[in-house]
Amino acid sequence: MRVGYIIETTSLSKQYGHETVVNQVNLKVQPGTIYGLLGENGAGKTTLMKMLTTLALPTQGAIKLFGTTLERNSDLMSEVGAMIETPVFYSSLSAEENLMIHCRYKKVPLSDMKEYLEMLGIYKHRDKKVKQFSLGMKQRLGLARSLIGNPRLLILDEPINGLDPSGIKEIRELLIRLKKERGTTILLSSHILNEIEHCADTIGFMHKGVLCKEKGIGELQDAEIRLYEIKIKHLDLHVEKLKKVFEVVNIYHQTVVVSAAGLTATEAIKRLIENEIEMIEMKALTESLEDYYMTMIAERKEGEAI
Amino acid sequence: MNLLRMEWVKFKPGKILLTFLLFNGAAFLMLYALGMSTGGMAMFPDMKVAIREINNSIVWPGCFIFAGVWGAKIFIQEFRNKTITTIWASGIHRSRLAAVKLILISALGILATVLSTLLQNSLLLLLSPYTYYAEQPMSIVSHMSVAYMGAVGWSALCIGLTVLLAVALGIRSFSTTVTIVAAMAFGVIWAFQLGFPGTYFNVESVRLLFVLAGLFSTGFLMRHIHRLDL
Repeated sequence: MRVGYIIETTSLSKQYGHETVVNQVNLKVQPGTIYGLLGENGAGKTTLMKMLTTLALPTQGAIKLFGTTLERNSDLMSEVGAMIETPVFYSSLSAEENLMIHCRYKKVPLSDMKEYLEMLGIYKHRDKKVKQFSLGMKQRLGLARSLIGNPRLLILDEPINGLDPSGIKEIRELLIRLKKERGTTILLSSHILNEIEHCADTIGFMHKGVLCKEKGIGELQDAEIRLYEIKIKHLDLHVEKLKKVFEVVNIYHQTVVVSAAGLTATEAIKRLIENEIEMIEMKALTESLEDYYMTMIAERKEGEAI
Repeated sequence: MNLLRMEWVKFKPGKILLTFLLFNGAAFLMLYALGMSTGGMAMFPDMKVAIREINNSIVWPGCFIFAGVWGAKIFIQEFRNKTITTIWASGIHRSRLAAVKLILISALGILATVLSTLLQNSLLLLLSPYTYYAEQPMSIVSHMSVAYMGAVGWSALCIGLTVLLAVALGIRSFSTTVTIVAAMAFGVIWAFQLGFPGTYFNVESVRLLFVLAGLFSTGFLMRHIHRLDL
């Protein structure tokens, strides 16, 4: 049977009391890709992941994993490795004992443990009690645990929290390797863009429970959506005209910032001349993914205000 | 079986045994001190009555607390520490895991009660010539009877099942304290031998009601756990 998407949610929502934490999310994750879920704290990423791992029941909507509808106590979960929120362990047991318990729950050979402990660089600490572990080491152990059983899907909630820069790089490379060598599909979340943009194939932007936009990383990087910062003489006289001619992002002092996606500098100048807007100076700004994200969030907030 | 073995690994039998020994050591010291504190006056008409009263007011309430503490550790702490999320997220059937835990807690309560009772009672009988619980000492052999073993077994069953009610109360608030305090309260009620003579609600039927409440609460607990969001 051909599996179209590894994860497919339809109008997935979650309410706690009167608060809608996840709102009508339609998430689609292709097999063998890394999908990065990006959003501020409280955007609903963790709740979404909890629903995908059966820890929370959706208030509305449906989830399909590997093409099959997900229900509580589903056997599908045996093919999923997950790390939700800060990884927790039996702190009075050693790292190896903790993994052993997980191996037994997942019914996989104990010999698998060594591979993952080595892969995450904590094999030499295997006999240490987890209560002696630093946050970074716990994070590594949590990742090792999620890899047990070689799952087809990995769901990782902020997996790089607490890691040092070299650790972050190492984990990023590991995730890419898992995708390339084993075809593992990975859904990871973060509120830090930099963590995601270096490894994800697709980025989904979440804001206040809504999956606002989905973009392929190639699309985002190639496009490098540009902004033009134009200093205008007598700006207040031309505001309305500018808004008609350009997609205005910001206005301050004598300057207007316009989105110029698909618009060359020559074209921009031509439009100014045609509309008799006197320009003092113009700068082309390349917009980073971060700028794009911030702009998008600002747009959403503005929309809410209206 | 696999799930039960995992619980065993997590909570280490050595640790359970150690707390069991500490609990019994403390109980014995207390009972010995109590037996020496009357200044030569016998507290009970005979050792049979003495043992029955000691079991009801000290040993069995103590067993309630022991089972409550382990119930909180085995069940509630997994929720508090959120270690249960990792297990559930790996596809383990929620109700099956809960059932295994409840069986383990119950079994621990029953076993601890039987062993503690036999141990404490044997020590009391052995030391009866040197304590002032009763005028006449009594041998272990003459005390052991089918009725005595039946009473111990019934009490152990009551404690093992009633403690499930304490666990069910604790899970509502994810609180180990609630579980332990509830177990203590049941122990106190047991010690007071609550009952209304001349009515249907005598001591034994009140205890039976607690047992039934414990059994019913597991049904609610299973349902609650199946729907629980973490």
